[in-house]
Amino acid sequence: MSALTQQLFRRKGVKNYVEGEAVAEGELPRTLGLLPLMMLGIGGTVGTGIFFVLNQAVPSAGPAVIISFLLAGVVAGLTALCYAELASSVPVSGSSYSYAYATLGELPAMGVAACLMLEYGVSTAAVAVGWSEYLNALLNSLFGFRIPDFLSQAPDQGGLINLPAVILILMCMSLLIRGASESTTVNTIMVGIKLGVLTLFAVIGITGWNADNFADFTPFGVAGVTGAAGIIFFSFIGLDAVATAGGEAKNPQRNLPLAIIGALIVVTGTYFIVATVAVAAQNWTQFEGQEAGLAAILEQVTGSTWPSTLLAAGAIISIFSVTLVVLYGQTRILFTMSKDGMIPPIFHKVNPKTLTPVPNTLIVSVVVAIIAGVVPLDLLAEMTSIGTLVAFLVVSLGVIILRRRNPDLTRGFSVPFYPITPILSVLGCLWIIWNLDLVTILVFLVWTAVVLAFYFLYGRQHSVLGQERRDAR
Amino acid sequence: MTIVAGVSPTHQTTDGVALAAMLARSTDTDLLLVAVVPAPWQGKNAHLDAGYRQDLRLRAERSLADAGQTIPPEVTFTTQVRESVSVSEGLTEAATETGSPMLVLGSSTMGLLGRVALGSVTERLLHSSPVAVAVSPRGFAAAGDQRVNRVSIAYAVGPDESSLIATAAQVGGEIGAGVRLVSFAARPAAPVTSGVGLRAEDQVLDQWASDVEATTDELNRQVSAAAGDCAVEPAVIGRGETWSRALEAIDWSPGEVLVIGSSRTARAAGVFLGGTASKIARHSPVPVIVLPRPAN
Repeated sequence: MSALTQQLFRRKGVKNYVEGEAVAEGELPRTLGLLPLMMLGIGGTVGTGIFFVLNQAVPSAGPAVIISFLLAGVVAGLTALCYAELASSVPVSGSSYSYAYATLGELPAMGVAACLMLEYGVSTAAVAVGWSEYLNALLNSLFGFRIPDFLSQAPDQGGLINLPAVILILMCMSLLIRGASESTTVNTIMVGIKLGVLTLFAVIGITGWNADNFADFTPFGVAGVTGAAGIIFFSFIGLDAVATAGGEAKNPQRNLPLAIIGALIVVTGTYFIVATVAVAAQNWTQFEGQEAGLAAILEQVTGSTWPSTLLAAGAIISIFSVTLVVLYGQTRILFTMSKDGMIPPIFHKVNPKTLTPVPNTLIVSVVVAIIAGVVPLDLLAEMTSIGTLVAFLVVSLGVIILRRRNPDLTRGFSVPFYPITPILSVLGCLWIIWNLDLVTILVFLVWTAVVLAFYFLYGRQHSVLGQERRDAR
Repeated sequence: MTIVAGVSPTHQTTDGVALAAMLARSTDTDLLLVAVVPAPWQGKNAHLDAGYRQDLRLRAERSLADAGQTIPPEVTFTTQVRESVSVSEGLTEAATETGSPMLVLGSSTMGLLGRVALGSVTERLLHSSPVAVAVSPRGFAAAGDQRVNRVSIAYAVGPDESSLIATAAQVGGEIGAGVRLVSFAARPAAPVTSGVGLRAEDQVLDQWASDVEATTDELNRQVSAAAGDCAVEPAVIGRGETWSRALEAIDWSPGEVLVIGSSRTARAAGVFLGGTASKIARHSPVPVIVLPRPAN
């Protein structure tokens, strides 16, 4: 192997990771059974995207969007299984960046990091924009007042800045700087709120059932369905949280797949019902450009405002918690990268008073707030989807590579039906990516190129691992 | 020199007195037990409650006598009943009059056994006293010959703690106790659904711990300069998801006291317990001594 290849694919040894992550004193290993794991998957997934993806996805698939949900769900399930195997082969806790660094090498890890910034940073922006739609819907139905378009829309859509989204992110920033976290109890409550309002939507929305709305089931054919699946994939992000908690799972070989599949069934089932009710209640041509879609449909069906007010209120509370948690995730991924020397050390500076990485949180939040302020939701959602899909693609490839390279490695969990599962997972991801907007794919390629260029200019020289290897020589 | 210990005129708790006795024995000083009763109202009807005040005074004297019974013979002590409009004021006056460097108080009876619980008087003194304030954990008792054998100094990275460290280490060295630096961090666990692992916060705390360790060498030099070499023990870090876990994470010995500095916002030469210090104090299993901010 040439020196450069060696450098680009140097891997953080598994031993390294274990030593580096010595279990904190006095910390008992957490043990999660099947039900908590499943709740974790449901809590991480449900409600992030479903509150607003319909308005992006229905215009490209028509009523067949319900098939898109099933498709995206199956691919999400396959990738989550692969993720679980990779996560359980490396005894580190962290994101797919850490897993990629330990199994595939530095360059692929950097590629995954580029994807994760979309999956976390950009998705925070997307979620915040969705939140601002529901805020407007709530203000409108409570007080008959809306924040004017020029303060609540991206420039592309005739506004100046999406101010509520910016404010939401800055609020989350101040909470994170002060050291707030979301406890398991709060998470459970949030899951309850999300499932509650979605059930409310389904129960009330079904009264507006009109079978005629299904007449033109697939106006754009198969391409439309897969294209929509790409946008919808966004609403399945979070299922991988089960995999990252795998290290703490009791009997992972049994519980991880059951938890992932269980969560997937609940989530996909909920989405399927919500989507079916939505497209039955409202003709597919009316979805485009509609804001706070679920609330709008409820109002249309019932002719009164209280159900949509309730739904908007639930959405505002739960989306707020999602924004907080996802923004948190982004700061901690960058923290790890900075410790590894991939990005400047300012990202792992910890404020001794608040015990939080303050400069890191500030930088991330300001960037995300700007993105949320000026980029329209459909592009944000697609960017998030492509980032997540590519990250999962790499993870699935990683499973295959690791099986071939280290067949004897002890794995806490192995995917069933190897090699079919990872191969299907790779193909599924590719298929959905292929049907995304060309602009999305181009922006993604440019973004990845920028990140990799940064790696060649900065990370390659500053890599802590590289430094250790040089010192050892 | 004299150490002033507050004794309640009515409640029969002895933890504060036990701490005062241990401190007096360790520092070879004597003890003044003070019970504060309400001062009479001003005005022409002031004599009307004379009987009531007489009764209170009797109770206070009895309470002081009972407290005196618990003090081991080699510690010399005197008692005093003071009249004052507020208990904290009375105690502060007693300390000022005798030139005492420290006020010793017991825990509130509302607290957990074995933990420091701050009652209303203690709370007030911890935010206004001109001299150091020591608070015993609830139910604190010390063997008749127990001395302070270790002084732990709680410190944080960032603020200038050199005078706190110097003062505490000097006293620790003089009374022949071991001196160590301790630092605490409480961080809740990562949100479960964040997708970056349940231990994502550990790396942040690791970074903090290594920042802390980077400063210990220098601070330990200050400790040895003030306390003498023999007494210095290695610095320790306690961390956990809650303050109570963080404080439990390190070892404590009988005869240990935890010294905490006043907040940056305290007035010069005054005690003012800061937010973090207050959390540490409330979860301490050993007596806590809060030092005033140095006079400029």
